[in-house]
Amino acid sequence: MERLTDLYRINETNLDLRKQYMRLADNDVQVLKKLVKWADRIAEPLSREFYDHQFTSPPTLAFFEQYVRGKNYSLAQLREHLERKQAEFFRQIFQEALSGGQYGNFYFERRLKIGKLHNAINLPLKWYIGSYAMYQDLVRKYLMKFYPLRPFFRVKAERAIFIVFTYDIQAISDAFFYDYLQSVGLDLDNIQVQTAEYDLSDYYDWLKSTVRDPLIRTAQAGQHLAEASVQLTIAADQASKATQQITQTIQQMAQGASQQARSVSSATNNAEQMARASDGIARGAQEQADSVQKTSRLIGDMADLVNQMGQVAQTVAGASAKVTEAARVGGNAVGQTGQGMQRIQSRTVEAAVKIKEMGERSDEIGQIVETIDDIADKTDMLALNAAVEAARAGEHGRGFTVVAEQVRKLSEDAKAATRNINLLIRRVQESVREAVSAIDATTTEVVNGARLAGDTSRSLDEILRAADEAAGLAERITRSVEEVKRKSEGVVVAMESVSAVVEQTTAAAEQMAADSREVTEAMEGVASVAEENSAAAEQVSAAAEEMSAQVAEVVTSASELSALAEELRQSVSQFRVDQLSRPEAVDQQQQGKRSANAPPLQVMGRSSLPRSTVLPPESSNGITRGPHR
Amino acid sequence: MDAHLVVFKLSNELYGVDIYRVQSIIPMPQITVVPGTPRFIEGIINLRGTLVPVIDFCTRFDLQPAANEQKRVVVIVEIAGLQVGIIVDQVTEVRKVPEAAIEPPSPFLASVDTAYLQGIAKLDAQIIILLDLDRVFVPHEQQALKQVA
Repeated sequence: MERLTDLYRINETNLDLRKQYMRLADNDVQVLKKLVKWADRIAEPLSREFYDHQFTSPPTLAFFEQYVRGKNYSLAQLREHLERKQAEFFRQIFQEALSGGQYGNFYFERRLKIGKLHNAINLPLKWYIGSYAMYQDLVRKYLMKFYPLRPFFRVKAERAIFIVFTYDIQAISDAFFYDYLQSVGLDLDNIQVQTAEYDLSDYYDWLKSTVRDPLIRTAQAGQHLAEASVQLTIAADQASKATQQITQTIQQMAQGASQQARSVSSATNNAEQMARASDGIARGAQEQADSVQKTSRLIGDMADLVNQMGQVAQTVAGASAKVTEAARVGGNAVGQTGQGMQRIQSRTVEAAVKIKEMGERSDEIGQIVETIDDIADKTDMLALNAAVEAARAGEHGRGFTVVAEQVRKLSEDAKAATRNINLLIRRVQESVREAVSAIDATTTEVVNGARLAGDTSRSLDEILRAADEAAGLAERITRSVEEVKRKSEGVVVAMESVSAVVEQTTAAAEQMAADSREVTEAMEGVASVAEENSAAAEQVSAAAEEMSAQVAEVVTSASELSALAEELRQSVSQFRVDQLSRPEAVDQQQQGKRSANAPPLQVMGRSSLPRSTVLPPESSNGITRGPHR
Repeated sequence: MDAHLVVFKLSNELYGVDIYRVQSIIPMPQITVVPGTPRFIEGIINLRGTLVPVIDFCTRFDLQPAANEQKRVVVIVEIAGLQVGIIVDQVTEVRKVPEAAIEPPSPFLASVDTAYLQGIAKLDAQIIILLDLDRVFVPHEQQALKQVA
């Protein structure tokens, strides 16, 4: 349903009834038609003044400021928009007269939409309708301004305009009320009025009750639910206590049975322990016997080892005597070596001195050879000069040339000889150096040898002492071994007597073990009976506990239910249902009244509507007119 | 005509000069360095009262001198009417070389720098390079020698 007039069941028929009631006549419409030009001129200034009032009065100003907060336009923009719309709405009043629309469905639909728009911004109705006082003052003012000399026309104009204002206020009020009903979830679509003379406003009383009745019933149901849940909780508590008592009793019984079982089993255990103990004794005795045998064997082995030890000790004594002898021989040899070494050392030193002297001599020879070489050089040069001179002398010098050449050859031979000598000397000196360093090395080795001989001699002394000690110790070991042999023979005799006693103990313990096993078998028969008792008691106890748990669940559910009932009660209490629901009689009275005054009405069942019945017209004369206020 | 040569060594090579240009052979004397003289002149020596400029031929011919400096000798020669001492590593001999054994210098060597090479004497075991003392020094060097003397 798109159009509000359809939704509110407003049509030309019931709008005619409204206009007749307000006595909006054809001559009023004629006056409005004449005012079209006037309205066109004054619409803007009037609208501006109209909103001057709304944007300066504290309550409306506060409302508009609150409204624009958080939106993407300013207070000034809101006012500009509202002024433009208001001027348009004002002109529509007069254009309706000009177009001959007779203020019917089309006009009323537009007016309803204006009302709905204001509801969307939630401007309180008192300020909205209250503004009409200002609106009327402004209309009077502008009529006076334009028609000061036509008082009778002004009266007619005011009357016509104010009737239309009232008509507009009706539309605003209707839109306001229906918007409220829709917002609380009432479905207006499926309400059907019986005849065209009526619109929804004729069913004011019925509309109130459609909201009120379900609230009352919900409150009553909540009350019953709360009472029922309390009773359930009490009953469940009692059941819980009873089952707890049963459980306790059964548990006591079960405890008795299990105590009995425990007593029997502890007696059995004691007997078993005794059997185990005597077994242990027997086993211990057996082990003792084994140990005795083992000990005897070990003693035999020990005696063998001691014998071997004695032999080894004697061998050691013999070996150490040989070592002593060898060490003595070694000592002598080392002493002779040391003396030899010292002789070598002194001879070597003598040789070194001689060789060094030889080196010095060869140096002297070298110097002499150098002198000879020098002389040879000079001779050579003289011979050359002589040859040059001889050449200059020509034929006269020929013989001299030969002599000079021979002199030169001799000096060259001399030089060649000195070169050889020099070479030889160098070799001699090298040999001397090598000999000297060899002698130095020999000396070092001889010194080392002497020291080593000393070390060896000391070591041999130590070996001698150690060998003596070893011999002494070996002798002592031999004596100890003899003593151990004697003593171990005594131990063997003692062990044999222990062995006899152990065998007797073993026999006694075995007899005791056999006796206690018989006792245990008897006790086990008793114990199996006691265990069966105990198991049965435990099963009963488990069943009782399960029951107790189920009862506890019921208690929990009951208290949850109680809490839900309380919650429901609190939600409904906001509607003061106690006042509404107290007198059943009043409700019936109201229904009676409605049957007298309310027009016929039919309702289609919907989930949001509690009643799905069709209300038949209770009386045929109810159709005559609208409701009386 | 056979050549009569004084043969000396420079860095293990044998060189020969005409014996008639040689005046004497002396051991290495004390050499006095004269400031302001050209670089090729080592210095001057006093030879029996005469001041004689001395040139090291190893330096002159860019050769490595023999190891023993003390054993080197000075050969006093006559160049452009002037006494000049030339330092050589060793004078080995005075000898004659037959004309047939002497070859002119290789045409490849006939540049200005090698103009002082007179020829090469090929003997049985050795080669002697013959020097033309008049061409060892260019005219302005000879002038410098005169000024030093």
